[in-house]
Amino acid sequence: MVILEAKGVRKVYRGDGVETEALRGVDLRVEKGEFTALVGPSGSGKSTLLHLLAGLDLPTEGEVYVGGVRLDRLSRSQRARFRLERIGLVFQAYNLLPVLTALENAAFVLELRGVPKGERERRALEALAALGLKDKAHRYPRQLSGGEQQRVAVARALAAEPLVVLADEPTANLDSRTGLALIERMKALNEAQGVTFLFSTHDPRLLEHVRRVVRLEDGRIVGEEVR
Amino acid sequence: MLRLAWRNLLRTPGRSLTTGGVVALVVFLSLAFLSVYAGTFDAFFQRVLDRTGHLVVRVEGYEAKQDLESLTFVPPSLSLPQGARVEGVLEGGGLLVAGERSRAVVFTGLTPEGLARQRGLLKEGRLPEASGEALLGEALAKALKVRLGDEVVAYAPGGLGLGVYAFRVVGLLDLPETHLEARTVLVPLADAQALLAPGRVSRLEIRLSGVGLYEKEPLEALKADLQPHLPGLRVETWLEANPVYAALLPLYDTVMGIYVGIFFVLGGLVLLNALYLSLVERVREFGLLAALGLTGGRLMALVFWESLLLVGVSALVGMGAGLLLHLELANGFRFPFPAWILEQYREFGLPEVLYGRLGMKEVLLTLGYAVGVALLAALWPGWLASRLEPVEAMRYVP
Ligand SMILES: Nc1ncnc2c1ncn2[C@@H]1O[C@H](COP(=O)(O)OP(=O)(O)OP(=O)(O)O)[C@@H](O)[C@H]1O
Ligand SMILES: [Mg+2]
Repeated sequence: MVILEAKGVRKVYRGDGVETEALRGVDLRVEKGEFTALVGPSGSGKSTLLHLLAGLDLPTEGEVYVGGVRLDRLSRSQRARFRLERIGLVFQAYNLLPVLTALENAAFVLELRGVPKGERERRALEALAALGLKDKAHRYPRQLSGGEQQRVAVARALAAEPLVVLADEPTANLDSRTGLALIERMKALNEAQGVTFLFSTHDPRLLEHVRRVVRLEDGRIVGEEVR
Repeated sequence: MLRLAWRNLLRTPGRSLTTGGVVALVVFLSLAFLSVYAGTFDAFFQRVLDRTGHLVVRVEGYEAKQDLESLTFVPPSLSLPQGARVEGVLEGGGLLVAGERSRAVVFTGLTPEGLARQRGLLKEGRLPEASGEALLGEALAKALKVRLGDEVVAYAPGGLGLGVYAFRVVGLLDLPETHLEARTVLVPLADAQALLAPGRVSRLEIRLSGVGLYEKEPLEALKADLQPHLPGLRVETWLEANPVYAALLPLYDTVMGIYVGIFFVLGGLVLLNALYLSLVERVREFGLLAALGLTGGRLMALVFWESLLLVGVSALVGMGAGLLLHLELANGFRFPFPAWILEQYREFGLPEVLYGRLGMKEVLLTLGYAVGVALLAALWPGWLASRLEPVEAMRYVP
């Protein structure tokens, strides 16, 4: 079953008189249960593609499908609601709401969905435990290390049991050992629970455990390895 | 949602305190200002009223008449409501002589109540208690080189009375207007009548009890009652008798509107600035919330509650402080100005002690304004964020 699909996607940024063609016709399909990495040099369009797949922005041309729904045809608030129900997001930094504890952050998406407190805390705690953060559930983000903060963000994505988790450089602010540990945990969750992952990175050392690697250069997909 | 709003406020106590402080301050200052403003206005008109009496009876067409005979009348008996008091006043020009010096003056004969009302103006000495005692304007006394206890002689020849009368100076008056002070002689009514016009007065002042400062109906009603029984005389309300001041009365709302408008605009700008600055930096945070799936409407709700919480609480604090100050002011206050400024106020006809006044209208206006502006200022960045794509909001630079 195809979970993510980009068809002939182009994205042109216009601003201050400059036009940047960040994506120049990208076709990509991700099947359910896949664990896929998006790699490429800085400025190749990885973030742009992930944002379009998450419905955080609209393509200039082309079509974007998530779980069979054509995202680029939805209004902004329809896309917001769709993300809330179906997509787990992890950003490179500033993922967490500083005023909420790790547990509250992990449960935040569920809270927005209106899941009762008892249930959402149980699920958030489960997700935190799966990422090795059970004993830090009641800390605030400023009391956590960068790697721990990223794990809380992943836990938030997982607790919501989304169709797919999209992560834009989740390891960018981590040293390669912690980064690798995070990728390994994600991989473990992918294998144990069948969660579909698509994440970007420009650190080739993290790709050891990744079966499918999509290479992006200058706004185009230039290669794909399946190991 | 409310929890997030609350935590957001607590997370940045500095920012919350600044914004809240500004709101509280604007409310507080507005209330204090409005109380003082109304108090000043009241004081001014209270003084005019005290000086004039609620109703004044004078000769018909007195503005055009010159000679004492046609300006004075024998006081008729009036049928007045309970609690009303009538005082006769006799005024007439003449000469005051002390030794070699003399000055043209206006003699004013007052009843004991009328004299008692001058106590506030008394600079030195005491009020006249017996016949033959007089109060002089300080400037007049200086010009005549007389002091307390000295004898002066009043000349008013060609009138209906004796035309000459000796007085002892028992007190000096400090009047706001110096040119009046140099011409003022206050004496007991009976003495003035003996000097100028036996048995006559130039006006009757009617003072009522239990009538509010700006209340018109009871005055108009009494005037309509009295006028038909007083041929040749004219009854006027205190505002009619002081047309220049009466013209100021409608200015109350206008001037208040202008003052308050300027004040509110200034306060509003500070408020907008404080809130706007603090919230622009949060457009990115709003971007994250939107990325996680918060729709524009829910985002606005969040900002709304957060601001309402903050603004509401601080507006109440400001109102509490403002009302406390107002209660203090309502008990009477003096402007904390140096003497020379107070002197200017006195020239303008203001007493030193004023009493604050604050209406429900003013309180609600202030509260509504502060809360309204603050909410508007808070909703603006929220609205901005909700119109951006989440990615744009997350990398927002104003
Ligand atoms: N908002 C924007 N406005 C204008 N140009 C943009 C914008 N966002 C990205 N770009 C441009 O689009 C291109 C692709 O950017 P993108 O962020 O997708 O790259 P990336 O592969 O994620 O790079 P990195 O590895 O550095 O994160 C770049 O040339 C970038 O300068
Ligand atoms: Mg990027």
